[in-house]
Amino acid sequence: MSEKILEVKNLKTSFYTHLGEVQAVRGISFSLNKGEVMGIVGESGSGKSVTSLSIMKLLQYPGEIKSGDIFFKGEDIVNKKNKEMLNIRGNEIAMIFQDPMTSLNPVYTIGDQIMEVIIRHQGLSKKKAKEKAIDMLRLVGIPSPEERVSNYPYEFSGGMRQRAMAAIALSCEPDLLIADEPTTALDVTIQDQILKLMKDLKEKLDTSIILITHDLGVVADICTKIVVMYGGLVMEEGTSKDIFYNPKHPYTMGLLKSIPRLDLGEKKRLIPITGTPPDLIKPPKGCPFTARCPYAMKICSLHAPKYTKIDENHKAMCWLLHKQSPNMKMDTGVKRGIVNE
Amino acid sequence: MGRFLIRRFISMLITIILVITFTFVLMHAIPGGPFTAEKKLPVAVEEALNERYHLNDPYWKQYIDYVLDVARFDLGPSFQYEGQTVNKLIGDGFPTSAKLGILSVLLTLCIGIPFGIISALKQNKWPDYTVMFLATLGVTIPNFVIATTLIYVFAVKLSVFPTFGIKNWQSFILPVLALSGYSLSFISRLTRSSMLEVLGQDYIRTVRAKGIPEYKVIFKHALRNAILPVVTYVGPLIAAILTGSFVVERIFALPGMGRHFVQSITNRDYTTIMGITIFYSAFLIIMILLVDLVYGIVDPRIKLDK
Repeated sequence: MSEKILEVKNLKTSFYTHLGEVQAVRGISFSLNKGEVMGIVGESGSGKSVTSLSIMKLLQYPGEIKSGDIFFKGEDIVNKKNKEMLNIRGNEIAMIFQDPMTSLNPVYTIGDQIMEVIIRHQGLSKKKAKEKAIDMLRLVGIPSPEERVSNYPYEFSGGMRQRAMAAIALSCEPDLLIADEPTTALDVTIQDQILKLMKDLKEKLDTSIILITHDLGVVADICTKIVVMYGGLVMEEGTSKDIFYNPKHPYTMGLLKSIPRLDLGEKKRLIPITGTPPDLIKPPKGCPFTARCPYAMKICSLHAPKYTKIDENHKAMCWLLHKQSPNMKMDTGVKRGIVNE
Repeated sequence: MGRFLIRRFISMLITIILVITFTFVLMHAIPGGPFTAEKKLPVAVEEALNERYHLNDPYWKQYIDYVLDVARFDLGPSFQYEGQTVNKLIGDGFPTSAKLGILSVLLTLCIGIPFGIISALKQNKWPDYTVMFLATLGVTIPNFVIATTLIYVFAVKLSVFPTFGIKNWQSFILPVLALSGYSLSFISRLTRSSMLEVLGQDYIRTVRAKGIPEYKVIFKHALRNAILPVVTYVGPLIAAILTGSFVVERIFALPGMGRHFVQSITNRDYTTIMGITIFYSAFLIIMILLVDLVYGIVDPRIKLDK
């Protein structure tokens, strides 16, 4: 077993708004090994982004980590002072954000923005930092980086800006890269390029990656491990194989069923998950998915289920996995799932 | 850049000519003339005066003569002040007004912008509430109330500052405070809202994710984006404040040029009305040009040549 780079234990993050406490993340645990790529999947409001901001300790007022531990390279960073975090952010843990169009400061050149992080963490001279910035741009596949380095963000296309973001994030060779929906705002061809880029970079730099997305299709062939989140909780966790071929949670099945496929014929409709996510100011007592679950039982709304271990790496939080639960015939969505092997 | 400046210069000239034309027409549209007084002058005297100041010429000739004079930077003689030219009236008053004005603008910028930033950083906490309360007062209370209150408290009761005139540096303090009250408050509010908007932007989160210390996040990344609306406001503000305030200069009995704006119209002092208006318009246009140039420096997306 290789070393653990990140371990999140029972993390709870809340936003204290005037309407009440929004419990965005309600006790999640997972761990990530060195060199591993983990996907966090879930729909909007399931707590994916809040989880990543918690790990970066970049939550803005009124958000706060309520309890739990985040071990990064064996050290608990929950109680680290902001000063210590400044040396970790951008250096050991870096982040790529969702919208490349708005994630770069419009009034500084791409080069300045890459150099800033290099100078900050590696203490290189301006000249050396510029050379490194050019190398980084070349690495992420920007053509003629010597000229492009002095361009402003508005002179870059969306895909190029996301590459530039990747250059910023990777320029200090972080141990952990968190990519929060890095392809959501891009069109499909560019999505594919960015995912390929991340895969290449992972192999070149041996960075551990957390890839956050609402699209199972995106994580399919890059992630070794997938965490499915819903209502601020981890619903199911397993290897990509487990999630795509042996899903145990009805929510995971729902996600699989809603992936568009070309090879299923024109007549097949996508099956959406009906309903809306739960209100996290007053989160449901039982399983948060109860209201939308086609297989919900009485107990589901009364008590939250415990995790059932299916095997070493695979676990799910569902009453249907309890040994006393009835044997239901379920449409797991596997047949529709992505077959990429 | 060169082409931009040439184009702007031409459009500035056109603007000035339009201003001259409108003011000229409006001025002659109001009844009465410079030599109409309650006590009627003898007809012969009035005739002689009109003749001497070319007021008997047809309007079109008066207009063309005036434009030609302006082109030579000669704003003509004042009708009200015997033996004074308008150039001299402005030359006498402007330095005082400008001194007060520059101090007020400096105060506005040096206090208004930091207060706005503090307010934005401490949003919905006591520093924010304090600054915004004061700023609301500053915007709503008219400057003559501020001026008289300042005189009452600091000059009459505490006698730390003189009540009127300009004798030493202390004489500047009260007028400058009264003059900058509104703009200072306005700039604070403007900076605050602009700063809040920028601080919520994705690129600020990116900078924070790079591990950049907070002071750099604020001053290097946020402020440069947030300052544009402030620059927009400061240009015209400088023109308005440096040309003097009728009210504040009146209350503190300062020999600035603010009074001419009002008095020349009451006196139908044709040349002074025209001169003051042209001076102010030219000043304003130049300030707006400077604002545009500063835009281009602050925000690279704004290209002046197109």
